Amino acid sequence: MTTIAEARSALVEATNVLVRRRPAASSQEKQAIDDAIEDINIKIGFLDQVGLLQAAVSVSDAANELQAIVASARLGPFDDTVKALAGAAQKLFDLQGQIRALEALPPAVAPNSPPAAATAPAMAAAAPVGAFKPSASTNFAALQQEYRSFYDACTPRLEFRGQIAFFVNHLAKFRSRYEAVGQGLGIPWQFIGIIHGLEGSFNFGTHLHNGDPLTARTVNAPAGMPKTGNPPFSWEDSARDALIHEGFGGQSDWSVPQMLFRWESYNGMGYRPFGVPSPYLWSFSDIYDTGKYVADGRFDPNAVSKQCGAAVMLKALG
Amino acid sequence: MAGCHPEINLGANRPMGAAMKSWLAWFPALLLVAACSSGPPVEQLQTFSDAYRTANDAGQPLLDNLAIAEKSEGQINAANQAGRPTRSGNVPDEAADAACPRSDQRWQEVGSGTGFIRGYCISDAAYFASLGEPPATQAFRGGLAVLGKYVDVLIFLAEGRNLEELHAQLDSLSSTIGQVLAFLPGGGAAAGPAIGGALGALKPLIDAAAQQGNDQEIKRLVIAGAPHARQLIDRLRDAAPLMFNVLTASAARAAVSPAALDNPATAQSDIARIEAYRVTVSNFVVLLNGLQTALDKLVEAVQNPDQAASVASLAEESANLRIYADAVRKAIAALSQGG
Repeated sequence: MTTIAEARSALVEATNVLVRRRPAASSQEKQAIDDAIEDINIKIGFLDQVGLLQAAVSVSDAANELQAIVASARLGPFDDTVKALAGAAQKLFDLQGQIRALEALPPAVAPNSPPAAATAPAMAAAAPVGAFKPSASTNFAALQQEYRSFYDACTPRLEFRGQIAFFVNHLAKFRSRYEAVGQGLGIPWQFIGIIHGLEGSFNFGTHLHNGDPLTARTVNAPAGMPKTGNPPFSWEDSARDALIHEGFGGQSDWSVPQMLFRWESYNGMGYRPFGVPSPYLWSFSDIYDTGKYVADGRFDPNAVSKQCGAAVMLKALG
Repeated sequence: MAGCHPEINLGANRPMGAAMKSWLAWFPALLLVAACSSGPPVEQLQTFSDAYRTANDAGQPLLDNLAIAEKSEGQINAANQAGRPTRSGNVPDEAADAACPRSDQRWQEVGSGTGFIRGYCISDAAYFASLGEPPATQAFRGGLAVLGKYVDVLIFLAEGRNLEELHAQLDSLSSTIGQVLAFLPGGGAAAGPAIGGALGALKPLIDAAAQQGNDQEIKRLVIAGAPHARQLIDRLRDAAPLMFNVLTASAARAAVSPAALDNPATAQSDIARIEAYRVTVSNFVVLLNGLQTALDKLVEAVQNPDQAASVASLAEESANLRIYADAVRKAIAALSQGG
């Protein structure tokens, strides 16, 4: 028995003595007995409170010890293996980005002089003859109807359905980030996201300008971007700078033909002299068959783009 | 079971080829792990969980009443500690070593039997606050909650609820591998779905391996946690008499008041209230005993799986718990009706 319990027991016993005595007591003695019982009750009240708090401390101590065990529980399935799974998935994802970066289309800058008369027939012979032959014009007014008709007719090739879905899923996944950048500039999120997929392989660790890392200003052309702020840059700040740098900010017309025109201009109008629909827009659809720039200024009529076209993605987004 | 813990490493930082090879290396490890699985003591865990729920169901309404009583008694003690005179005008003795000494706060008399505590003691805040619970009730409720967390963690692992997360990661991995292969030249696109299918076929083995990991963790938690859980149950049980004293303090005082001593028949309702609390506190103690027994059987099943209690005896115990739970509800209902 604890000291508190012993003291309490003695006090209760004292009360019993007083209660037994009370019936035979005089009124004066009864008053004294009642006062004594009240005093005893006060003392018991103190003891009860102290005892309860001591018990509470004991319970708390024991609870803390069990809590430590509960906190040590490993709830992740497979623990290290799950980490390894996630690591492998990330590695594969990175690898996929690298593969797609290799497939990125170089700028489609046509040779300074159009295909010479002597070489033109050879080019023409080598160039694919598709149902959709683009105009040689580079003027939006002249191309607007072509963009509209190509876009309406564009049908994704079945064999690329999985890859198109990959791009669309990633665009949807990162939509809020593209919207955050586009809202201040009046640019639709789809336009920004598709450029990010084509030029940056959805990598949020690099500049949208050219894929250089965000930890410093750009080194490759355009170099020294962003000109304001200090590295490391957020992807959003850098993307905003790149879109302004390219003159996309503040534009009012974001119709489908205008977006297609801006994307094609961004990559280059160099496919038009060869009569090839730009794979930058139409790859993975029945608009495009073969022909692509394999290096800056070097067009190969037999090479085939392995990158999903911007128009195809836009149409798949619905 | 030492041979049942294969080191599994996917080689996350290696080139893709190496990573794929390590998948192949992983396969036999999965088979081994799956073969080693002996399963958790599901019935014992369920009985332990049921025993906890029943004890908690009995404990919570008791603690609701304790919170009210502890506050009320705390306020009375604070006034007595400040020196509020008794009916006869005597000033009670000051409790020694109290957190709130009389020098910090004294009873201010306003008139016969009226007054207030002139001063403020932070240690008494929990008794006077209209927010939160008084300290002891809070600690007891916290103790029951920790026991509940312990039970929840064990059940979570036994039911393999964490496998959903694993499935999501596998689906993501399968999809990523398929997409990577689709970009590779020469038949990669066709290989994508094939790899996805292969990963799908691996799922049951991976699940088995993951559940094996869960089972090992359950055993570790039971063996490491049981002494602490047992101690916590003991302490809660030890606290029961102290809870009873505070719960019945008001009725006990009334039962020995001058009016009751002059006419003992008037004390009957107070005595009945005290006895009703004796029943509810006793129920709580009995259910804590049941929880202790269920924990012992769980530990026994983990340590000696072959000699674990039979499913029939556990079913009997679960049936008893349901009867107890019903008795607890009736006793609490009787108390709330003034029984």
